[in-house]
Amino acid sequence: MPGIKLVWRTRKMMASCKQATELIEKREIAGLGIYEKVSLTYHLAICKACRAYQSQSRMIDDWIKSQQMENKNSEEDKNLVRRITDEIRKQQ
Amino acid sequence: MNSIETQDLVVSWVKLYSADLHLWAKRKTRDREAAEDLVQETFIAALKGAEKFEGRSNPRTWLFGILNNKINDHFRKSSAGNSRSKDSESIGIIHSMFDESGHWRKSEVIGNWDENESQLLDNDEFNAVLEACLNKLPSQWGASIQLKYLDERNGEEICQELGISPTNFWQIIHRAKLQLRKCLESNWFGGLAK
Repeated sequence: MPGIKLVWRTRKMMASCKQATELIEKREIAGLGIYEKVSLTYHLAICKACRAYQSQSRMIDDWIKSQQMENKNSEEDKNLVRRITDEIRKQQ
Repeated sequence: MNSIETQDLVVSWVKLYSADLHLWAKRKTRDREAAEDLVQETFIAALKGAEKFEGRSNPRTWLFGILNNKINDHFRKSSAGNSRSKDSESIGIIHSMFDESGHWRKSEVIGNWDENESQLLDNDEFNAVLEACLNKLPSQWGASIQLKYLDERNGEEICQELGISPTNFWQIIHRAKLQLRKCLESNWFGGLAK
């Protein structure tokens, strides 16, 4: 019976929450294959907890990114560039 | 070979890459001053070994390679780098979040954070909590998550710089995110709601 086969296949493709949250991170970094995409989409459609993880993961990304932007070109970095440049000019 | 041209070349690298190298070294060593010294040593070594470089690879990747060796030496000398206990502690935290079949344990289900997220960054208290949570991560995890956002670089380059495989990289990011999320929930969001 094709119906049973389909159910069995879908169950096999269904990712656990641990796998689904890992796929969310993999998607950002390496991209997903077709089966991974399907299994993640399917999981997120029915799992509220993992949808919350997904949005929290993005928020964490944004916070760390903007924290870094603020720290860029800080006095600390400029001093370090100056110090190392001087040191290199001293080398013969 | 240590001509003026070589010096100029290395000085141009200092301007371009020292901030990123420092951020990485700082997260790995958890010591700002030691990290500054390691970055300086990296550039001195680059100056001395510039003829070995010959533009074969990306200077950034090459510099990260030198720095990683310096960091390893630093840990060997100080023996303080043995952070294995912290690693296994963190892996334990992650393990306890899911049951045997990989589903969230009830206590780990976190509801949506409905704060205005851009406003939060102007909040010094929140920034301090975020920083504290980042510092609780094993150093390799914290350093990886920082490096992920620097510039617009792809995962492959980052993995080369960190000396880890791509699979390892997203697994580390996944674990780091799980731990950060739990830490922010307990120290900020959950606390506010109750």
